[in-house]
Amino acid sequence: MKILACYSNKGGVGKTASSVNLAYACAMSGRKTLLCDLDPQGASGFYFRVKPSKKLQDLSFFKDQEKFLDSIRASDFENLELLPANMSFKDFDIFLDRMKKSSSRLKKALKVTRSEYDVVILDCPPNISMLSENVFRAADLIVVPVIPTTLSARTLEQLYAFFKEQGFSQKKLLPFFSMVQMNKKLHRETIEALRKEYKMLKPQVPFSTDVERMGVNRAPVATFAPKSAASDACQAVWKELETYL
Amino acid sequence: MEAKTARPFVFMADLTVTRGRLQKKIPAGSIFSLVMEKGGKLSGYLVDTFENLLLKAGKILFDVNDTLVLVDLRSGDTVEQGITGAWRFADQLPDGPVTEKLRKITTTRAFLPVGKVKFRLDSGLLLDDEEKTLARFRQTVLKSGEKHLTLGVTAMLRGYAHEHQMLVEILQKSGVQSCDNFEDLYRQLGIRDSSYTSKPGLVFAASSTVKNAAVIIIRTLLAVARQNEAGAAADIDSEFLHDYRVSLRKVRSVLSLFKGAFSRKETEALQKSFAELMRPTSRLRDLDVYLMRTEEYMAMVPESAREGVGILFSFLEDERELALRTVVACLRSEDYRIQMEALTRKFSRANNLKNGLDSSRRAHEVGSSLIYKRYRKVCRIASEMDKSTPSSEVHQLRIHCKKLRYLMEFFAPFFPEEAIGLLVRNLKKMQDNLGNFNDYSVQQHFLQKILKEKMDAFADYELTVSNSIGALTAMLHQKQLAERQKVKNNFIQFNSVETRNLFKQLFSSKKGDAQ
Repeated sequence: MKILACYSNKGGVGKTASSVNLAYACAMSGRKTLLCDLDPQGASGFYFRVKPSKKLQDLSFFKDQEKFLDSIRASDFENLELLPANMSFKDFDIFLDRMKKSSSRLKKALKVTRSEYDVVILDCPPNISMLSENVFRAADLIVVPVIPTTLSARTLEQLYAFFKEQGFSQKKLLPFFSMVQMNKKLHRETIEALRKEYKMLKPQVPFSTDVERMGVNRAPVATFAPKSAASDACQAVWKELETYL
Repeated sequence: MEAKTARPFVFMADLTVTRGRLQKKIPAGSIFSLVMEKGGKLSGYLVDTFENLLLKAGKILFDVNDTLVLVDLRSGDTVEQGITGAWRFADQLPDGPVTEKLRKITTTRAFLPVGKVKFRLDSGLLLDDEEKTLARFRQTVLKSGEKHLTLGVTAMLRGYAHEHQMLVEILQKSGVQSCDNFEDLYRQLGIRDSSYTSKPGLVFAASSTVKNAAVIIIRTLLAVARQNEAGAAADIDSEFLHDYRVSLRKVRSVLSLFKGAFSRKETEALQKSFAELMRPTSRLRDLDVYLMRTEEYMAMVPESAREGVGILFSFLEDERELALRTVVACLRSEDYRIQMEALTRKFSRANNLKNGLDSSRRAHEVGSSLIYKRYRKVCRIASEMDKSTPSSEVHQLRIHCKKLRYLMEFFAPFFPEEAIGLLVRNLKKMQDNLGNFNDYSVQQHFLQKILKEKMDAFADYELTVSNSIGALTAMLHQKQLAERQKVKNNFIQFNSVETRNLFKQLFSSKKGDAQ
């Protein structure tokens, strides 16, 4: 089983949309997939119409394997299941702080899924915290959506620096351009500059109303706009990620 | 609770399950709703083997013009495959998802149309207020004449056990019944009357006498033989003749094993009649056994010998044509009909048969004693076997095992099903082994006979064919030796303390642990 985190220390970069579309592509490739929503806002669950988990409160995510497994829900798609979040997930840092070996608790909690899934995709909240350290430790690959703007470039830089500082393997980081608008000069220039500095995934996901419509349709983009540029780009990102699995 | 509701609910209804019917059963004001996608209406033939092997495996197969549609009634899984031209056997179909599943069911029995039906394949979803799917179901709606049947199965989605249970309740309230076997389906649709089986269950009264039991067994076996006559004469597949012959062979075994059930004179006359009935079909069965293994034999010999084997097999196919003509002429003859009807009449009532010395003994007691004696005989012969034991004795052991098996089958209704089942399974392993040993030996003799008597049929290819027969005989001999090696080990398993104790417990008049 491989753990793939979709992470950015910046909000609004398309993390959840990426998690949802990549989880769908992963499941369609025939891999048994679990999308684990770590973001208390529960947006991944929303996209799949799955209601927040009621049972998985407070420490039970990390401590109660039975409740963890009982909270998993089937999506409407083959091979794809979800662990929906709830508001108590906002206190993960507090819980983790109280526990021993607090930076490897997520890895331990996910062990229970090992026999059931080929890939677990983590949709992570946007901050650098105890939880994100857990994510960095647990994940085999960390996909980072980056909007090609100055601010995003800066946060990507911060992330690499943090990895170096903390001794995490930078090889895990797989950034890709998200919400790209090639008609904007700034986007084109940022892309060129960042590609020189970092090993970015080749495909770029364009800014697209189809992705925005995911919130209305409450489904992965490939299901309602299968021929759209956004859907093709997500599939291309997945294809490249597959080579790392 | 979770485990119970997690199982798919397999259902049947003698009506068409529609969305409207189901929706009415959802409580008013609930957040749940149902959607259904109706499949297109199709018309085609339901197809199955003579024994309804597909239905017994919980599957139905539709032949719709140039497409086969196979539905697994227990899972709802449906596979489709295009076909061109006529077919009867799974091996005659091109590779594909339907073919793959049919091959697992049978490659020896022919698939034939059972009846014409109209059908459609529907699917349905239970949704919540956010239109999330909570449970699914699939159904096949069948129509034959005025009869409607819906066969369906639900699927639980992870994390939604309660919602699945709710769907089950909605279905039940709308008139569907839980269903765990579909064997009566064709009759319910009015397209096939009986459900044929080559091994019908026997029912005796506990106090049944030997004579009564023998009459019931023979009557049942005769009925099986008769049901196979038409298929054998039409040469639909080789199993018709095989089952026909097995039934008659078992009748002869009953006559020889239940000594004293009928008068000696009566028994001798019956033995003669049944032997005569079987005789005209022997040659065809021998050839069938051979021809069924064409591919196996081809694979057995080196490339250089394959041409000769090919010529040999086309000769055997011609021979089969002749043998088949004999069988067809016999089965369709007036003499045969008269003889079979007379035998059927005779066994319709026990009083039609003259009593023998043991007629009124209790079948249970006689059966137990016969089984136990035969079992001990098998053990004695098998335990004395070593590498130097002549083949003829291995054959004897095979015959004793077969008789033991028949006895256990005949008297099975008197004993606990589970225990008999276990002993029969143990015995079967040894029988398969001895059966293979015998087959390889018979086949070598068959080849030798061709070599001695039929070589002029091959004209210019005499040398090629005789070389191939040599190669084939050598391989068969090797295989026979390999089977021979296995006999000892299989016997050790069959002769375990548990098996011995179980035999003693069930069949010996002196109960207790076997030594």
